[in-house]
Amino acid sequence: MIIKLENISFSYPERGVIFEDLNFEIYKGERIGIKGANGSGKTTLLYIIVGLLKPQKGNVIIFGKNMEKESDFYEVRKKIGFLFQDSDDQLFSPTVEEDIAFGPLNLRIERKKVEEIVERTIRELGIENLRKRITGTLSYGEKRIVAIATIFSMEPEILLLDEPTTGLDEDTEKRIKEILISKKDITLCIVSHEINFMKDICNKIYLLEKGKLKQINF
Amino acid sequence: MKLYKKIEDIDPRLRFLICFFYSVFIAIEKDFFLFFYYLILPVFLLSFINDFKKFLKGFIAVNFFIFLCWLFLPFSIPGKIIFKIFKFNITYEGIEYTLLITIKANLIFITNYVLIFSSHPVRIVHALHHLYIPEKLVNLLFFTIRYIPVIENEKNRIERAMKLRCFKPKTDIHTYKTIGNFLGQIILRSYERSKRVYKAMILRCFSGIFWVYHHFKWSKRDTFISICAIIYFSILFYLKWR
Repeated sequence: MIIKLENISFSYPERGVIFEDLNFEIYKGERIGIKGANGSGKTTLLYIIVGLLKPQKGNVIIFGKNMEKESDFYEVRKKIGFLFQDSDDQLFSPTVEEDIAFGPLNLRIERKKVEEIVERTIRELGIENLRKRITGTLSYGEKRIVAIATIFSMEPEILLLDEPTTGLDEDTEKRIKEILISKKDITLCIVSHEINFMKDICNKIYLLEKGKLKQINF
Repeated sequence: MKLYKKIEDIDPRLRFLICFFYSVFIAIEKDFFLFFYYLILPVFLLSFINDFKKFLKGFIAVNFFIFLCWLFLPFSIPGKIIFKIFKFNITYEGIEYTLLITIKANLIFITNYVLIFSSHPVRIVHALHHLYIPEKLVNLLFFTIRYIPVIENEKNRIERAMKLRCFKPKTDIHTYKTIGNFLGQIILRSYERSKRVYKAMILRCFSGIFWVYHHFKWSKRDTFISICAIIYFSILFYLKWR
């Protein structure tokens, strides 16, 4: 087991209770999909896992360690890739290349090695043509693919994807699907309301409703 | 044969420095005779402009403000009166002063336009980083450039939504309220976005330092251009303070 949420309770002051005594586990190699209505707390759940939100009650256990302080989360974030709903939030470096290098450089990886990583990631995702582009000028679909590249460059063990297909055309959606399927060794957790996309990638799908997770058959 | 095909081929650091010194020199200049020397650089740079339409647009915008100066300044500086329009006196000093502003503004505009804004400003921000400008300032500038289009998109989206619900600005309290809400929305949304961007940075292990991935390559041509620039500025310096 790599991620465990134990009796999590969480509420927003404006939105009220989102989770009460929620339990959730992700095992190594699992590919999990979480479906839920808007405002059901899907993104909140992912934020709690990576420590961007602190639950009022309960424990977050990642790689067997109870996460208590910000520094605990810093360590696990090296191994968790997080894709934001809006790629504009994620791409802030001047060029595509630099954005891909941002994570590895933060991890103080040697420059030569960073160049190799950037090279490999660009090749893997087939975005050679975007390499020198300025991130702000990419199209919506391109931004999403580059955002995925920026995460892959950190060589994560777990990927958390927040609505990865919203607003994308069929081709880009297909491309992302292929990319995710090809990464067999990565543990995945996708949050989305598009069940068809998840069906092709995930081996377990949960429904998030009224703060509870329920496994569904597909 | 041209030394450079594109202005972007010149090292951005060099471009920034030339622009900076040129602007400072010209800003403190008062001697009309010397402006012939100052003309050399902008005239040389004009040959690098590819998109004249875009250039003209900026040129007109700058000169619109200068036109406003011409409407007021010649009347408001005391001195030798040349002629009168109704009760208002146009003075020699006033015209001289406004002309000085016009020349300075246009020359600075041309150099800045070609040297800095013909390539994406991001490159210049990068150059600032290499010139040891404080990191906080550079990052501030960079994020401003990066997120202005995003905020503009946000603005367009709200504007569209307003139009689709038949909003037409008039001189009434409803319009003022709506515009107030509109500005408030943009500020709020920008704030929300900044929080999300920061989260995204934290998730990629950002801990306060922006590492630079690219290093500029200084070429022999850049050395040549630097020497020319140094000679040019030395001559200007000599002429000014001889």
